[in-house]
Formats: sequence, structure tokens, C-alpha cells
Amino acid sequence: MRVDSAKAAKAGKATEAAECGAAPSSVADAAPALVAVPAAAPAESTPPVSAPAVPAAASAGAASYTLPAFLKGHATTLVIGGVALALVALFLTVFGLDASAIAFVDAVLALCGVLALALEYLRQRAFLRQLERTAALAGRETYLAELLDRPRYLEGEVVYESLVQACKSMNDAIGVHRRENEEYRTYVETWVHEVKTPLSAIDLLVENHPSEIDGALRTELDRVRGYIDQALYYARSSAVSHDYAIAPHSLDALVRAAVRSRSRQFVEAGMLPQFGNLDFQVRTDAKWLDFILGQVLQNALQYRTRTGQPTVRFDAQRLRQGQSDECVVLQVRDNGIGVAVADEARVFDKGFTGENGRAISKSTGIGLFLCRRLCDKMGLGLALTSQQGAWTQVDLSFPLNRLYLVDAEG
Amino acid sequence: MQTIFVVEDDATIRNELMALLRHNGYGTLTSDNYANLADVIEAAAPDLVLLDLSLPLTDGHLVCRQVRRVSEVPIMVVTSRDDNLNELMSLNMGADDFVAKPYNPPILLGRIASLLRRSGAGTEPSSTLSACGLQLSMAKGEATYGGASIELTKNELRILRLLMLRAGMVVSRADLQNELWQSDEFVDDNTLTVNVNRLRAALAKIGVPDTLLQTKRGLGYRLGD
Repeated sequence: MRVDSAKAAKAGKATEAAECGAAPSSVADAAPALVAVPAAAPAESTPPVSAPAVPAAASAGAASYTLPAFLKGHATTLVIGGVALALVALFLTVFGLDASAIAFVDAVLALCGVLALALEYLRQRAFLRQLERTAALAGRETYLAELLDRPRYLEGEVVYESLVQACKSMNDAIGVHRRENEEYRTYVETWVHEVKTPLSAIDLLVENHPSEIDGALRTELDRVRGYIDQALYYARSSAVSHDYAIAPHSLDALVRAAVRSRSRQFVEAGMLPQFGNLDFQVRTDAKWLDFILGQVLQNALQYRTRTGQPTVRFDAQRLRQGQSDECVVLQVRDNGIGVAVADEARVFDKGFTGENGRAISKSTGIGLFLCRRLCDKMGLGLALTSQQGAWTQVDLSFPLNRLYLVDAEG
Repeated sequence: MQTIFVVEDDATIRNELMALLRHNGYGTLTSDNYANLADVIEAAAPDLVLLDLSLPLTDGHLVCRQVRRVSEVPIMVVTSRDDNLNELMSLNMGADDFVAKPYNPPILLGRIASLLRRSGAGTEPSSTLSACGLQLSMAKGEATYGGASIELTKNELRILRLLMLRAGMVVSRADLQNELWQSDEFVDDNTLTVNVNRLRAALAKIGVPDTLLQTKRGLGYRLGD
């Protein structure tokens, strides 16, 4: 997103600059050019002012550095050159030179001028075309300068040096943010680990000193643990870290463990789990999958039906047998209040709470967003379908073809 | 009696963990001599070591390796650093099991028992509960009252265990249901009622008076006079 907006801004500015910028630069050109044309040495005289206009024109669109555009940009130079030729002709006429001699002198001068312009055009063309082509490739802005051949003329070098500088400071800024982000992630992980020590102490205290409020206390503790885990996995999901290990696991065992560890919430909500045939081996990270199932079950509990027996059913099946994208799909289907059709496509968006979320103020819109991120990292498929007022089904697919997991396992 | 050596620098956790282990029939040892832990552990010759990874003056992984050099005692790493890397390192350094904090105490006890069983270190702890004249042997699955014994089903055992642990207190239906779920028996409310009634019938056979297990309508059950 950042890249897109930056590019749009750049493009917008560039078009503007390309049009407005050309005029003043040509005017500034004009004075030296007037002298330069007859002197046939424009190389040293055109320089610095045309430089800022160049990158602007370059990023405006594909191949904007063409001969007609070049001539248009040098219109003032051409006009002044023409006037100069006329003045020379007039001057020589006053001195009584005959017409053919005047024509010869003018022709020689005009040829010199055209030659000077042509040389300048050709000299700049190689660099500017390369600059345009490279800048048009998305996602290269941080090392744009490194992709270019160093130009061998003054204006080009000025542009090139400025680009090198800009890329360097851009990379420095990105580096600072990346480091800060990494430090923050490390801090969150450390914090999570530290807060688990007092939590364990409370667990043991509750276990060793039974009382009638145990149940309520444990429920609240479970909620705290849930929030802490969410913070931990959020930190892990955003990092480049690979803190997961894909290994074969029994789907049945994973699902039952996920339900068992949340039994208190299930019992309190009166939610009944039902298990179909889950006798499959899947390749995943057990802890990450437990977290993902936890978020899905959390939703099933939170948006359960209030008018009947709430249930959540687990089924699994093997799809597309014998094909390269063969997979085991785990279906988690509840009989809850469902999701509005309009919301279905957006449930995995960060911060999206939808109609249900607004009705139940506890929604943060983080749970499913995190599930999607973690699934993407592990190469699992994740989809949600629903009928409002009837059911919601979350499908988790585990590819069986190990090729799909190469990235994840790498 | 099997002895467990607890290495944990957080005083509350250490005390409560040792209390939990003692309640469940284990002997406990500990030390705050962190600089020479390996020697202390070797000298104490426990049946199992519960080892926290983050320690003052030393590092859990280091302790693990040092202990392993001189002894084959089972080591269970219990830590809040529950990432895969730490788990892998612990296992490579010679730990036998890895439990992440915050742990569920019954699960921790289960894993300790299973590790001890695997290592063949003597007999199971005598986990016999007694309350209100009742004795409950988890290992045998038997309840005893006034000399008479009866064998109970797994669900009945679990229900009675929780009631006896909190003898004199009202145990909510949710707590009991939750207890049953821990063994993958995802029973609903009605099944719980059925199980409690069966337990009551079983207890009546060994002469437990009807009034001992009371139903508190809308609240739950209570064991007591």
C-alpha cells in the first residue's frame, strides 16, 4: 500500500513538473544557447538547470524521452537560434554580401546548431531511457540507483548522484524502522514470557488452595491467557521469523486437544463439540494450529445461538485425490448467528468487526486476520462460508503435496 | 517415595510447585545454590529434575548439560520460553521432556508420572485421597468406606476426586463437566447428572449415607456432612 501511494504521488508530481518545469528550463537555456549555437559548443552551456526537469519527465510514463518531446522541450532554443540566423543574415546584407554567400553562412550555422542539439539528444537518451524503464518496475525504488549505469555527462551525473543519495537515505530510514520494529517484536515476546511466570504462580495457587471461586477465577485466567497468546502470535506473524516447525500430526489429536484446553469456555457457554471422522495425518506446526483453532472456536463461542443447543462440529475429508493440489480439509461448522453476506468477504481483514462485531462489543477484528496471516506463512488454506442466522463454517486445508510446503519448511 | 528436585528461581512458583508435588505423594528438594547446581543435584540423587530455563547466575541449558554429564536422572524442562528453538535446544542438551508455562497443573502431574514410569524409577506415588471417611485410590480406581471397597468407572472417579479435593465446598456443575472433558469425554449437562447418580448408587453400595453427597440445586454438588 505504501509503495502504491508513494508511486501515485510521484507520478502526479512528475506530470506536473514535466509540463511546468520544461518552460523555465528552456528559457534559462536560451541565453547560453544563443551564444552556443554559433559557437557550436553547447555541451558546457546547457547544464544544471535542465537537470531537475529530467527525472521528472522520466518517471512520468513510458518512454517520454523521445525526439519530438526533446524538440518541444528545446522550442525556445530553436526559436532563438532562428532569430539569430535571421539577424546574421540581416547584418551580412547590410554589409553588402550577396544572397548565396549569406545563405551559405546561415546554412553552416544552422547545421552546427542542429548537430549540437542532436549530439545532446543522443548523449542523454541512453541514460534517461534506462532510468525510465527501471523506475517503471514496481518495488525497485530502494535500489534504483544501483540498477543504472553511471552516465558519462555532467547533467546525467548530477541526476545519478542525487538518486544515489535519495536511495541511500530511503534505505537508512527503512533500516531504522525495521530495526525498531524488530526490537519491539522482541520486547513483546520477552514481555509475554515474563508475564507467564506470575500466571503460572496463580495457576499453582488456585490448584493448591481450592475454593468455591476456582471456576470463575480460572475462566478469567483463561481469558488473560487468550489475550496474551494473541499478542505473542501477532508479534510472531509480522516478523520475518520462522519460529515454527512443520511436522506430521494426527488431525484428530490436534482438534481434541484444542477443544480440551478450552473446555471451561465450552462448558460455560453450554457449547457441545461433535467429532466426525478426523482420522488424517496433516503437516503443520502444532502450536500455531492450536492458536488458529482457538481463534475459530472463540468466534464460535462468542457468536453462538442463544435460542437452542449451541454446537460446533468438526469434519475432515480428503479432496482432489491423486492431483498435485491434493489436500485434507478440516471443516469447523457451528450453528451460530452466522455472518452477513456483505461481511463474508472481509472477515479476514484486520480490524474488521462487521455487523456482529458491532452488536457484541468485545470484537477486536484481530482473530481471523491473524489466522489468515499464520495460515499464509504455513502454506495452509483458510476460507469462511456462512448463512446468516444459521451457521458459519471455517475450512482449513492442509496440502498433502510436500512441494506446497517447501517455502514453509525452508 | 519418589523425590523430585525443583529448580525454579521464582519463590512463589517454587513453593507452590513443591506443595503441589507433596500433595500428590512426591518428595521434594530444591536449592538456591545456582552456581553449583549440577553438583547439588548429583549429590541429592533425585528421581526427576524439574528445571526452569531462566535462572540467576547460570542458564538452564547449561545446567541440563552438566547434569547429563554425570547422571541419567530424567530432566523435565518447565519454562515460559516456549518457542521451538528452546524446546529443540533443551532436548539436545539432554532434557527428556519440555513443558511450557503457564501449565495446567493436572497435565504437569500427568507428564511427571509418565516420565517417571518411562524411566522406570520405582513405584507410582500412593495417590490416595481421603475425606469424610472416604478413601479414594486413583491408581486402583477404588473408593473405600468403612472397610468396604467398590470399583468406579473413569468418569465416576474423576467426579469423586474433585468433590473430595474440595470436600465441604460446593463444586459447580461446570467445574465437574470441565473435569470430565479433560479425558476427552465431551459430555453434556445431562450425562453429568447420569454420572453423578451412578456414583451415588455406587457409594450407597459400600454404605455411604445418602446425605454425604448433596445436590445443591442451581449450584452444584457438595461432599460433606
